[in-house]
Amino acid sequence: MTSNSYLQIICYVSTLLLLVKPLGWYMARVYEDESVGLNRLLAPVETILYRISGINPKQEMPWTDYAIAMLVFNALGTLIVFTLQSLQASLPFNPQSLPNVRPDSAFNTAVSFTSNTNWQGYSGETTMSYLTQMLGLTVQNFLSAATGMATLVALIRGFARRNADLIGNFWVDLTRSSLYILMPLSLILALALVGQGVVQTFNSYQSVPLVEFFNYEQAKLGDDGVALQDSAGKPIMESFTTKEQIIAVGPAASQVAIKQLGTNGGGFFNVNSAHPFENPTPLSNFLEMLAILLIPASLCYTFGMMVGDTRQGWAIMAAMTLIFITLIFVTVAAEQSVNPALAALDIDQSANISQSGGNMEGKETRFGIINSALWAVATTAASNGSVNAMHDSFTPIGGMVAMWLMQLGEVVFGGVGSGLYGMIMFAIVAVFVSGLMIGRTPEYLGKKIEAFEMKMAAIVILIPPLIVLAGTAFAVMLAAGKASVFNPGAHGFTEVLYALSSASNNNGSAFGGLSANTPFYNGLLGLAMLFSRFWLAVPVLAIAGSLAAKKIVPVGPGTLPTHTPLFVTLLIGIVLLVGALTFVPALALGPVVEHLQMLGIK
Amino acid sequence: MISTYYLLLILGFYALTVALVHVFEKLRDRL
Repeated sequence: MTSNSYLQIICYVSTLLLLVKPLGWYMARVYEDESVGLNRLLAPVETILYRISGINPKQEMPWTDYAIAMLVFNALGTLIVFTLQSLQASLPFNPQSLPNVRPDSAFNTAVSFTSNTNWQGYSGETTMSYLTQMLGLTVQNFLSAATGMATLVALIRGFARRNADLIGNFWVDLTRSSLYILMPLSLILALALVGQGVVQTFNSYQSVPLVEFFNYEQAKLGDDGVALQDSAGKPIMESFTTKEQIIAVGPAASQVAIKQLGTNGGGFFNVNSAHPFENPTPLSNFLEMLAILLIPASLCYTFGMMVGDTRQGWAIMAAMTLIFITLIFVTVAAEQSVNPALAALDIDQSANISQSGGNMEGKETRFGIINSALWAVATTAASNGSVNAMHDSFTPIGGMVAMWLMQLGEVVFGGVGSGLYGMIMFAIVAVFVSGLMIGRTPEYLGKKIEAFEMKMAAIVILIPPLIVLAGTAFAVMLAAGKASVFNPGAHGFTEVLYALSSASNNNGSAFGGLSANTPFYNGLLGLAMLFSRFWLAVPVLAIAGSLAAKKIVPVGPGTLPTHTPLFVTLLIGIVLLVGALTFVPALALGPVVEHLQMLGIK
Repeated sequence: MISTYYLLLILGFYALTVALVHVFEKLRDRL
């Protein structure tokens, strides 16, 4: 690793940590309905929204009503995005006259954006009209993130309340998450990105003359669309000269801001934040990368404030940060390392004044090794999924770290809301394990953890691995699954495993090399995203309801402190152990084999 | 064209998940 790498990591992590407390404090006040400075501006808007929707903000809900409200709202969101795509050719804001989206692709995308995954089987600039991008995808970027935050806040109230049947009002939590947190932050970031050169326009795509004309040949087609052949049976070729290039533009900055802040990750353009119109400069790269982890990290402090002990939030934050930093170093070291196959050809792979060195395939030269590796770890630690480099071109170990971070359940910061509630499930398992060791009923934050909570936590932890492993097995056994894999052997297997890991943990990043826009993968990954989002949120809310009804047990001499380094170590151990035991066999068949092949071991 | 098959798939999933809410509530009452 270079000194530049160390400096950039320190700069990134320290800036993030500095922002955790102020933003966490702000969010806690938003959810506790206290003044935050924006009330004079936003409170009237909030009131109007409640009046129009017929919502009484003072009326709280039991967990069942909260969960059903969340599900009905997301069902409507899925249907709206699906319908918009299916009818976009007949709707306005479609200057390129793009056709309706195929039903299987529309299903996958609708599910993807409502589940906060933002897996993209399609290419944005050639598939989606401006209306679909803005009214469908960008709106869901806000609402899916707000849904995750609302679910988390309900769980926190479960810990904070005693002998209560109610865990808050879903509509209020959703509205306040969007209005007071996501929208102001998105506005600030979008303006900063426009300042850096990210495009934001309603103009149609620009046609520009090429500096050098481009000549190419193409088979001549008959009226039936079949290539014509000469008497020798060879295709008849036609010569063409391209004199202009179409450059895709659009309202990108507004979508990029929320895709980063809301851990959505779906790019306006196909190559996401590797595109110079989405991420033009090192500063835009830093801001976008910071935005990935900003809210998930700050929510740890919000959690601590709302349960009345900020040390609890810092303890979870410490566990996340330690895993995150360790895996940054592993990835950067892997990407900066020398490939023995290239070294045998006397290729200079060292970092020096004129080159980044290491593995630069699939990376932007303006970002280099460190910013590509740092982004890859941040985007897969959070359930963001945006990319600024192609993960398929990472070294086997670099690609494996990105995949493993998703497989851990997206709990190392994770998605906005969903990352922390996932980590709290692991904390519940950790107190249960330690309770078994000392023979006491486990408690967490003064609440007894009993059979129901353990069953729900087990469901939350086990559903994603089940979908990943069963889905991968299913895909590599069927011809429809194998037909989309471009690379043979271990790398091809990794591509399938990565796709399932990404969808089943609501990340959305793609490894590449897999032609996933097929009815088979659109259906399989669509179902994976649905189950892993909502069949996890429901048991989390069930735990919230169960905990809220319990009394708070006073701290005694037998209580396991959950803010100490010992508990942080235990929590990290549980997360890594579950991740390792579940996925090591699958990883051994993919990236581990590939790494050994790279080293020339047979 | 809007595909009825995928519409039913979406609605079916959410209906199933709403049923899951009630299953968990029953389970909580039993425990």
